[in-house]
Amino acid sequence: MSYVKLENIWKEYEVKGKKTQVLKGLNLDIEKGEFVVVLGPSGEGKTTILKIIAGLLRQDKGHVYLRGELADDVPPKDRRVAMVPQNYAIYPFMSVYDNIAFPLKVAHVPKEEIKKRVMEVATMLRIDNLLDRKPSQLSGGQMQRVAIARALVKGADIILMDEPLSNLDAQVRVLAREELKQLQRNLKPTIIYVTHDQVEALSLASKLAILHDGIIQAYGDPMDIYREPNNIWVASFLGNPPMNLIKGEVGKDYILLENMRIPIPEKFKKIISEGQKIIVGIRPEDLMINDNGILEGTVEMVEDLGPYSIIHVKIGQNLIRVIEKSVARRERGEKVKIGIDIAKLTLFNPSTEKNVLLEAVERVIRK
Amino acid sequence: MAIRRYKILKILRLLFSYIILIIMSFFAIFPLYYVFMTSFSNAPNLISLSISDLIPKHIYFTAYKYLISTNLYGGSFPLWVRNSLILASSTAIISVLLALITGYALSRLDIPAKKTLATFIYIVTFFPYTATAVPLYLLFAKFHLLNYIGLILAYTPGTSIFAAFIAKLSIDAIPSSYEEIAMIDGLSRFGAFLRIVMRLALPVVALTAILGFTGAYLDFALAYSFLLPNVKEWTATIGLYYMAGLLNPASAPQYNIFAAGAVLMGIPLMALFIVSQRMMTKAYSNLAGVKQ
Repeated sequence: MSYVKLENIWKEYEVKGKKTQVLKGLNLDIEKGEFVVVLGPSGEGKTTILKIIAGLLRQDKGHVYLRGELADDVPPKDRRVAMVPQNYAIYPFMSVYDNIAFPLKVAHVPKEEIKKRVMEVATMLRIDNLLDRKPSQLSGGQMQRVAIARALVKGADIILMDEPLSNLDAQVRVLAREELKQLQRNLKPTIIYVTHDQVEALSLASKLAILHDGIIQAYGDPMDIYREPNNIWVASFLGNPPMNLIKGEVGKDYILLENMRIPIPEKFKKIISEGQKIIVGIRPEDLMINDNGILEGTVEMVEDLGPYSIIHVKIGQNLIRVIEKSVARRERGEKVKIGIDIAKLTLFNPSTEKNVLLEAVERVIRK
Repeated sequence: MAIRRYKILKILRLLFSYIILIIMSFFAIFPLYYVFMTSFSNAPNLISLSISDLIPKHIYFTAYKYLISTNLYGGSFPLWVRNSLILASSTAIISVLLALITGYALSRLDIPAKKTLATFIYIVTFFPYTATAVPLYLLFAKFHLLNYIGLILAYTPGTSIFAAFIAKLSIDAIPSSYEEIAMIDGLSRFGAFLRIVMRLALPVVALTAILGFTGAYLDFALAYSFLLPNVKEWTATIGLYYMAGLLNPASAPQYNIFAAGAVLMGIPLMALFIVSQRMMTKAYSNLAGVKQ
């Protein structure tokens, strides 16, 4: 049974007389103790989802279930959830101690008990030496810990996080990410974390949900989604650089890409048929430049990123990206041959924009 | 050479600024000093004023004694000051609540015609407040409200309509996540408003309180038209008006008593200003968009 469940959620915003449908029948099932990251581009309603779960916003249609119970009419204060907002919202007029103690004070917990619990979370997050300070004396990383401490102190088992690491500088962010992961492993709360940062999403999530166009496009194990994107949008969004998508046609026992033939991988042989239009997806890291490659093209641009370079290669009308370890220097205009790791190919149906493999599975299930 | 010229220019610039500042402050301080000195004289008139009179030779407390001890038609000055303080404090408190609640609603809540309402409020603040004295009198007479409650009801909107607009601007600048977190952590929306928003908008709260307090404390026109028949309910401004004999054109007004009354009435105001000075500077700099 799901612990947090969003069922067919619709939400519309009106900005300056213009109505925009942000959520369009969104469904999401979250099991107890999972670390779910909702990943999506900015302005797609990620924060709206959290606010609807917390009860700060009311959905236009659909239902929210918390711990298996309908929560639509439960006010935020009775939903037993905690939240870490993007700007941390540490009250500037209270000391760190009072900030962390605030949820307990509101609940009229006895003073000794408050002290015990605040000390407990503060020690766990290593901010017990900062308790007397005012928020203005804290660094970004310390503020983030105070915000997490305040979310943990009341013992809510559902914690909502709205890009809590986005205000930290790169080095602190990596540390904070690791700590957050540890914390979740130790305390086992259900965390719903929204972000637009792919690295954060892939490294933190026990389950990844990709939000686009008002619905969850893909939901599941992060690496599964990465390897086998279920539609063209997810393929073009996830990964940096994202998956290469090339239009092609199915031939007898090959796929025709710009007059170049690549063999059909075994797993697709029964699914696709000759003459069918197809979109081939291949990750830049599954391509390699070598002399006996199948594809031929010219180098358009080279991005050197330190450990590896992204080589933009023009093949006919298509521009594809190849990741290559920064050993050989490539020049613009250079003719190259590119080899493909055939087993890593993903095929999409151009008319439905879906992964053909998943479409086939759906067909079987429907029968 | 260039450095020396720069130094001379700097001195000249400072000299010029200070001369202007000194002249300005003279004009600002002189009337106050004059009132202060007059309150310690025993001559009730203003005619015999020469430069030498500006430094008093004798200090008399007659005017103060008269104000504190005299009983006029069954009322006395201390009683009226007390009335004024009660009236002004109540106006201040109600103005703060009304202004902040209105400002919050205009800033945060999804209410119909919000923009029109905010503009309307802004326009209303342009109207001179005294112009409404007669219609207010007629209206409140109909409702039998020519008393303190009526006066507070009449004063409050005058202050809070202006303050509501400032409160809206101030609350706009507070990220809504502060209240949202408070609401998730166990407060109702109103609780979050009282404990978080009011506290974060404290400079505006102080500004509104002072505006409300001084408005009611120093008002004469409305208090006069509302409270005249009952001497015991008079405010300090009405009382002083009669005590100093400004009403009767036949007798010369006793200006030293008027001045002493002004000094006494100024004490609570001064205390209020000193207490809230820090908040006030914050309030003004917040409005100017300067971060403290």
